[in-house]
Amino acid sequence: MNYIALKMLVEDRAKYLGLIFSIAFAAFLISHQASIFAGLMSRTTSQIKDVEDASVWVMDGSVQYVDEVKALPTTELQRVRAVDGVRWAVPLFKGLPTARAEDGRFRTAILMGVDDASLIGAPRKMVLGDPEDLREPDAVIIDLAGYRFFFPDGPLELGRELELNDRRARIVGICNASAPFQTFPVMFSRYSTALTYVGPQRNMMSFILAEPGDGLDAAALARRIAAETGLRALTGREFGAATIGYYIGNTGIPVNFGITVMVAIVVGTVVAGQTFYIFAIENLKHFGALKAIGVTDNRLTGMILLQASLVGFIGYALGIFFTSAFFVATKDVLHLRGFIVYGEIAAGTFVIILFIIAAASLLSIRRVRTLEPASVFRG
Amino acid sequence: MKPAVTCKALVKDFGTGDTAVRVLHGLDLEIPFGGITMLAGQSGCGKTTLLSLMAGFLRPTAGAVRVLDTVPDGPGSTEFRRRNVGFIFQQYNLLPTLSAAENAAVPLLADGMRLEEAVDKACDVLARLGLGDRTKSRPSQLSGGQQQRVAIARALIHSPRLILCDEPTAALDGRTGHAVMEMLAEVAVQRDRAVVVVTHDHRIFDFARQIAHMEDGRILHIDS
Repeated sequence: MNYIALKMLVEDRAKYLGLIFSIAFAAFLISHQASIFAGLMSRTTSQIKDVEDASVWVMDGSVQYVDEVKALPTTELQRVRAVDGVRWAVPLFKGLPTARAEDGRFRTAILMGVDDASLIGAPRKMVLGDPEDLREPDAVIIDLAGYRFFFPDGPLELGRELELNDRRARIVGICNASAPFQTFPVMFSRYSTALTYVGPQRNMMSFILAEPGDGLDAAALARRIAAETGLRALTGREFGAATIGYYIGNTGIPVNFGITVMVAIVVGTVVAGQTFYIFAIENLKHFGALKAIGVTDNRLTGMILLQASLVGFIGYALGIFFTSAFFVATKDVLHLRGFIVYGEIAAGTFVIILFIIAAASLLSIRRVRTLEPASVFRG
Repeated sequence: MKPAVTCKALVKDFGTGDTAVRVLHGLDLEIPFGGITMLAGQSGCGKTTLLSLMAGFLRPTAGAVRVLDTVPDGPGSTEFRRRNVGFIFQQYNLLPTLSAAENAAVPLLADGMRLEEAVDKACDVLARLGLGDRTKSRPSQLSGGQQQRVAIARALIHSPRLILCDEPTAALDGRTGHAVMEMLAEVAVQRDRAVVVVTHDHRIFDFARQIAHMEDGRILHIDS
């Protein structure tokens, strides 16, 4: 009977393709929009993720997320270092100077000033150059996307110069940094150098990066630092979650993406449901004949679910394929790089598609189950 | 030998209360094995309702119907029908996306037989019905008479002991209808099988072993 069910569906080309299209459309829209949303949220934590050397971030108690910083006095660094269990603690600067190339093109850049002595916080995924070269005067490392913005033509080349707030900055390295939320170029310099690029203020230290000693985990150290200094101390993961939480709670981004995903679910369900219902109605006399011949209601239900599952799986696969293809095709586009289909999103989309095909087949199943076999005698 | 079908004081109402309509009024009928019994009469006389009661699609309001010594609408009625009853419908009700052989094989597939085996058997039956060269044709590629022969093959393929036919010649011209009935009489009638044909086509009465003439939900008389 499965063969009959599949032939009934597949041979009705128009509805078969219509069903697949509606499911594929829903799967594409859901997975694409959810992936963009997740990618954007992930981007908000790019500077946190790129600091691979330290596991604890210490900041002013009023800081809510990584992009809005209230600088700390340098005395706080000594207080953190004095907390029992801290192996080391170093300052980190984060600022937004204006970067300008020789040809006049300019952008606001994210400048990370890392500890002069240890270079903790410097990028580790180098495309060209060595982080140690940051020790040279006016040295900066720039991310690849930023380099390509300022120097779109020609090969990657060290030694080229930019101006950061009208001060000379010499590129000594090119790195792969995570794409930031604002798509700004990301640069790294020594802490002391970074302070020269931005105007002097009373407090300049954006964060303190710390690492626990042996036998102490990062979360425990963060709690200890917070308790003893009154500062806010979070693990990198916690700080990332807090940053994402801020963007979710204080911007319209999740609402907009949520609406798109909801529209995809509703449109997918309605179009697939309607098409599937019409398919069932048009085949009602055949279902009636099968019922008269002795096919049970449960078997007919199984046939409908098989038909729905087939279009569901094909539509889902096509939808995920198109989403993946989109991200592969745009992986080198500056503002679209780094977006991927997360496994969780693929799984979530699958669950939603299951819901859509279940909802779509429900009406048809009900119609067929309540169909009187005697109806086949009515011509 | 007991009759294939026995109806005793059979009453069937549709609806309830003031809106109830009585379609069968205490009908008695016995259908023997070994021939074609026709239920004849004008539209609305209750022929199809009686056929539906025999098939177990409907439950009597009063009285009793027994098919092959079984209550057809009782527990397990679907399986009983699948094993013991073959159907021929007025509009053939063939699945348009299946070939003739696959259509004929449906009762076997419904009973769990493998596709290849069922289709092989269907090809044999279709060959007996003169459609050996059209087994792969879709219903839309067949004439009305050929489609009805496929429907006959579907009704016979699982060797049921009762075949219920609803106006099998109504959609066919006289000559084709006659040919279809000839074929039905030739391949369906067996000593241990009963065939019931609902019809108001008097041109096919010659094929009947008995004809129950109905009017207003009653049997007026039975011609043997």
